Amino acid sequence: MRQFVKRCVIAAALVALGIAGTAMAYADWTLPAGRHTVTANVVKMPRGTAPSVAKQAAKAIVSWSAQEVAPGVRMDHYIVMAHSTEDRPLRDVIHTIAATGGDSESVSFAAAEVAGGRWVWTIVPKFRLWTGAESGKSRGLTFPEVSAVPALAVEANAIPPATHPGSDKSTDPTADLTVSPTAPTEASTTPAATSTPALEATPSPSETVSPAESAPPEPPSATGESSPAAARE
Amino acid sequence: MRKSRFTAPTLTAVLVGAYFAATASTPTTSDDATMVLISRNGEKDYGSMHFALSGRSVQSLYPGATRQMKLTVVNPYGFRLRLQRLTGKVITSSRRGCSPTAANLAIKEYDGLLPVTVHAHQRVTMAGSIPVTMPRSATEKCAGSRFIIMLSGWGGRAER
Repeated sequence: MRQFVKRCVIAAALVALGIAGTAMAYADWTLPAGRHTVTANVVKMPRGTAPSVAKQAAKAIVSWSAQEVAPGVRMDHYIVMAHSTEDRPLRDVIHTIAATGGDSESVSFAAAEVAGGRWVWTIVPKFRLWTGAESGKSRGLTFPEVSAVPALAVEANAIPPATHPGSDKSTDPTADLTVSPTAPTEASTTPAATSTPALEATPSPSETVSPAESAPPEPPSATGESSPAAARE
Repeated sequence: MRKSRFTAPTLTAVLVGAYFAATASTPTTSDDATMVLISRNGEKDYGSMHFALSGRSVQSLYPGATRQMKLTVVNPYGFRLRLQRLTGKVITSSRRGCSPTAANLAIKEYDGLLPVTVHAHQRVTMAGSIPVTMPRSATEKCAGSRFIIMLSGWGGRAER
């Protein structure tokens, strides 16, 4: 009787092993929460590039090279800040502009924004919700008091005092159209790097003037703080 | 008495032989760091059952960008492996404030034809890939960060 039981046990073990082996061979094997990992690297936001500045009539023209967040992908906005360097500094003037997609960008600061102060400019690149580090400072420019440039207050569609980051009006091609009161002398001081349509229609021989820019000229009453030495950057 | 003296060794020999027969088809070593252990039903870790699954790191992610992560599968077995699902999951981020969630980095299902059969002892670079997308609204704190993505897959022995 004991012998029979032992044989039954052996037979049962063999059958169990056979069933288990077959089940393992055909089972669906799954990977658990894994052991293998891969990295995904995110770009860093670059620091802004220091802008160049030029004086055009009583306005400031700020220009800089376009930047990329990744190879072939350019920033979509830039924050352009004017910092007063006076002993009693004026409030910063900030423009947030949409990028044009070109190799260079530029924006103008209206006479009313910069009058009566000495300013330097910096650039902060933006992409979606991300903001880069502020650039180094541009060289400084000095502008006369507002009383010295009364006619410049009549700028057509001038940029409002841009203390509103997020306002993109300064990139509107029609938003910054003014006519230089000292056009003949300004022609030689127009910065070559300013390629956006936001620039003034200074009648430089090399520039094309859009129909919108053919506004009636203002009386030449500006002080003309536009010596070539000061206007070139 | 004579019979019982032979029964125990016989039973032992049978059991040992059955064990080796049952485990003969499994790989015996983990030859690289990409080995991923697999378990039956996702619960018990059998340790010796695995296949290799590796991915290529993705670079230059930024808000709105999608990168395709290519995968390589190595079948260490002597039988064909039938892959049924491949996926990934973000598990960590190198920056505090940049949470490893889909709000900052989304990993989608494998984009390609499945199932795929990998022949015995073969390495296959999958034709498809796993899309890795950084949402446009990803937080600024993720700039310059490095995410760790865990890969996993499901498969089985292909029918003979």
